[in-house]
Amino acid sequence: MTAEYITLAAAAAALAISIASLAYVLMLRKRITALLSALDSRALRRYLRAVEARQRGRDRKRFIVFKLLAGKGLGKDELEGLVRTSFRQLFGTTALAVAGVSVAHYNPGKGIGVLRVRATHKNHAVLALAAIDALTDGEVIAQPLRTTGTLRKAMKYAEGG
Amino acid sequence: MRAVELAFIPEAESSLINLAKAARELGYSAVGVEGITEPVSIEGVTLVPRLTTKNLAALKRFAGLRAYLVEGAEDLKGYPKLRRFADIVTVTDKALRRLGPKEVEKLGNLGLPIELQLNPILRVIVQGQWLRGLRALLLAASADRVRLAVSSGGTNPRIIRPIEVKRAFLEVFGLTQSHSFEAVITVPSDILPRVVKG
Repeated sequence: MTAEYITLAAAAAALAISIASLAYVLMLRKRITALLSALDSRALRRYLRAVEARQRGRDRKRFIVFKLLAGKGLGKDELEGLVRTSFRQLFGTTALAVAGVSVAHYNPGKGIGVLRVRATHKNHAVLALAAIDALTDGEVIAQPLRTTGTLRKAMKYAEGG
Repeated sequence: MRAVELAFIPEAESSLINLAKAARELGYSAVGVEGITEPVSIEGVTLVPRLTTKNLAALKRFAGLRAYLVEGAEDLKGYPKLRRFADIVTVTDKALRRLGPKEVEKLGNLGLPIELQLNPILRVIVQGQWLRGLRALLLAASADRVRLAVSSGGTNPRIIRPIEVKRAFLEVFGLTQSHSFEAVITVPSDILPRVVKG
C-alpha cells in the first residue's frame, strides 16, 4: 500500500514538474520571438549600420531640402555665405568648422535648394536656415522642408516636389 | 495627431487666406490668430481667435485662446488668479532676458503651459543677447516642472515656422526628443481644440 502511495506521489510530482517546465518553455519561446523580431527591426538595423559606419571612420551626412520664400535672386555662393554667417552667428566658428555645412544643390528658378551637413549638426543647420530672416531683416526667408539621408533622395524631393 | 500653430499676429496687409494656405502646407490644422473674433475654417485650417494681454478683465470676457502676457517679474504678482482667466502664459523675449529661476518656478506653479514664440527669440539670439530666462525655462521643462508650448509668433504667413524648426530649436538648447515633441505637438494640440469646443 505504501509503495502505491509513493508511486502515486512520484507520478504527481513528475506531472507538476512537466507542467511547470512546459509553461516555462512557452514563456521562454515568447521572449525569444520578441528578441528575434527586435533583432530584425528597422531601427536596430539602422543603428548597427551607423555603428559600422562610425567604426569605418565614415561621417554620416544629412541633406536638408529648403525653399526660399524671399530673396530668390540670390546665387548659390551668396546663399551658402548667408547660411554659414547665420550658422556662425548662432553657434560659433568652431561648430561651423566641424559641421561641414555647404549648399549641395540650388535651383534659382524654383528657389529650392539642398543643404549638406554632418548628421550630428542637423538641428543646428535647420535653425541656422530659419534664422536667416532675422539676420537679413526679412529680405531672405528660407524654409526647411524635409531632411533626408542621401543626396539622391533630397534631389528627388527638391526637383519633384 | 495633427499639429497646431498657437500664434499668428497679422500685419495690416496679411490675408487670412494666405495664412491658411501657408499653415496647411506646413501641416498645421489650426492657428491661433490675433485680431479675429470668431473661429473660421479656410482651406481646411481652423483659425481660432486669440487675445494676448496683461489685462485680466479683458481675458475674462474673451472667447477664444486667452494668452496672459508676461514681460517681467512684475507681471506675476497676481498669479494665483491667472489659472481661471488664461489658457496659456506667453513669455516675451524681453521677459526671457530678465526672468530668473525663482520667477520660472512661479510660472511652473501656475499649472498653465508656457508659450515661447520662436521668431522674436531668434531675433534676440542673432543679436547675441543672453537669455537667462530661456535657459531657466528649458531646465525646468527638462525636469518636468513646466509644460512648454512653442509657437512661431509670426506676423507674416511666410514666417510661420515648420514643426521641424521648432523641434530643432528646443533640441539644440538641450531638450530631449520626447520633451521637444511634447512642446511642439502634444501641448499645443491639447490647448486649441479645447478652446474651439469652449
